[in-house]
Amino acid sequence: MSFITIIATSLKQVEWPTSINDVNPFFIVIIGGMLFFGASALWAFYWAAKKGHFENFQRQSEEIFAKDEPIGTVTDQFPVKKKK
Amino acid sequence: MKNRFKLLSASAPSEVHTGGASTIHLTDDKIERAEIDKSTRIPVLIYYSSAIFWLLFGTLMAIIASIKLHTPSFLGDYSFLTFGLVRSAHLNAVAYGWGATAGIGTGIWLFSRLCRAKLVNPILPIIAAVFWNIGIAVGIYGILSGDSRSIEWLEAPAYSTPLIFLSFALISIWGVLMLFKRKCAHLYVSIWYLFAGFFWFPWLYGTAQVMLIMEPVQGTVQAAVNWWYAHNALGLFFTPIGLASAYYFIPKIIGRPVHSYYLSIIGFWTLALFYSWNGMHHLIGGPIPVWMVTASIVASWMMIIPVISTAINHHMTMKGYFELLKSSPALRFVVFGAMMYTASSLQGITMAFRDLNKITHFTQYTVGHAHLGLYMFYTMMMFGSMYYIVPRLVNWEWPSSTMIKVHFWCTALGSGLMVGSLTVGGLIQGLALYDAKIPFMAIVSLMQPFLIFRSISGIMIAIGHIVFGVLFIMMILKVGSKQSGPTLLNEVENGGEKL
Repeated sequence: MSFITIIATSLKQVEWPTSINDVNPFFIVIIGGMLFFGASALWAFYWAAKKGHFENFQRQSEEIFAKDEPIGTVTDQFPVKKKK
Repeated sequence: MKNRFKLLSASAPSEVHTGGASTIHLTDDKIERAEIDKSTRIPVLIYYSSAIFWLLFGTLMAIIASIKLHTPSFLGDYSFLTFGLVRSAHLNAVAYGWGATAGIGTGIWLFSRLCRAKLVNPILPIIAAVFWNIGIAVGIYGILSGDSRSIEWLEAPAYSTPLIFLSFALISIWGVLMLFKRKCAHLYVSIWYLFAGFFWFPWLYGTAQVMLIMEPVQGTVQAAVNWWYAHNALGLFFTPIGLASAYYFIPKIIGRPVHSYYLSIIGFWTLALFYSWNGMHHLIGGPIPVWMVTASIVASWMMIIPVISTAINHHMTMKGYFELLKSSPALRFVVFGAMMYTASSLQGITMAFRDLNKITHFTQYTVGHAHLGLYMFYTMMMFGSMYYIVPRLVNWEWPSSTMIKVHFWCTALGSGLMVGSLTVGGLIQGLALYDAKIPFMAIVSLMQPFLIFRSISGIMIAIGHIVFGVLFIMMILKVGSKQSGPTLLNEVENGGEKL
């Protein structure tokens, strides 16, 4: 029996709800959440591609530096006792 | 400090620029950053203070639980301190009380800085912090008083979880609002990780609550939902926050862009794609359809792609700069955490392999793995982030470098000893359990020295935590004399107003 036949057979055995009142509201929440969050990830990927997040990588990696903290600046050190 | 690395001295900003025009830009950038840091001050400090409180409480619970394993009569007269309760209280206090709270605090600060925008709607994260802490406190009280639900990672009783969910939903909404107000040109990779964590977690938590508590699914599906949630909490919440910190702090502290931004993006999208499938590898050998387990094992092995790309990236970024580990406290913790991310992920991948899993399942080996991931990677990453962030929030330098070093070595050596003894002990335990000729009681006493080592390591870690707690309180109260600082914190003034 092929995989598709197994799925088709099991789908036939499902008792599909005949009216909306038969559907467990939590089921709608779970399936809805699944579709929404799945779609949001796909949309984020599409958006990132469209907005140029997958090109010009060098420039993006320099995003965290500023003019007063340029590349080549170490920004953390152990505290030192002030010499009197 | 050798001359090889230029440390920008805050006390003399005029040294780094010449000419009128650039001076204005320099000051502008500095003022902008100081204003953003200031806007996050109250919410982040609320999160950090409560995180450290839960860390200390969770450590106490851990030590009690650990001692009970080799000396069962310890505190044996108190019903609320039986092993099962104390262990769950420990997990909830350190995972949700410490881990998530510290992560949200770090996330809020990083998010604002990377969006280059002042924190919007600060009331949302503050209300969320209040609800969150009440939720955790009620949850842990519930666990200790016997209302634990005996679902791993979701032990908190049903009367505390709505508060936790609500609070996280608020954080999620805040993240979306913040993203709309961003002023940055591009979304740095850390924003992707943080936003993913903030955005996904309420859904994970909500789904698990609905399917296990409100409208429980039947039979072994419960176990599947349980581990779908628990592994995703690790993989799609704690891991992204830890990696977001690593991707910001390593390049920022050493002053060198990340080795390959391309790899970091690959790492993010493959993590998102594969990690969500991993949960069923906790049920290897369990009574659920084998294809579900197999799919999870394949996905676990696919995790090699994000793990190796992250490992290569962090190593190559640090290459030639390892000397700075001696001089920067934040870098020391963050790089330690980043290395342990690679170690724990690779170990986790091998543990998904059926042949190893049949030996290590239900042994201390798994406990060792959990601490390698959540302690040596995530917690150390959060400590590093705090060492960088807190001085910038309170405008005060860390009062003592000796105490920072004590904190680092106690926690690093302590956790190393713990993971080492549990890994070796767990393997011996697993192999012995696999041999039907060895009586069970012999295996119990065989484990005793390893468990005693674990208690010793727990005490070392506790010393580190107490030192860190004291350091944090000294920072909040600004104890000692004002130091002009290595962390570039000289006061920034904008039109006479101190920022």
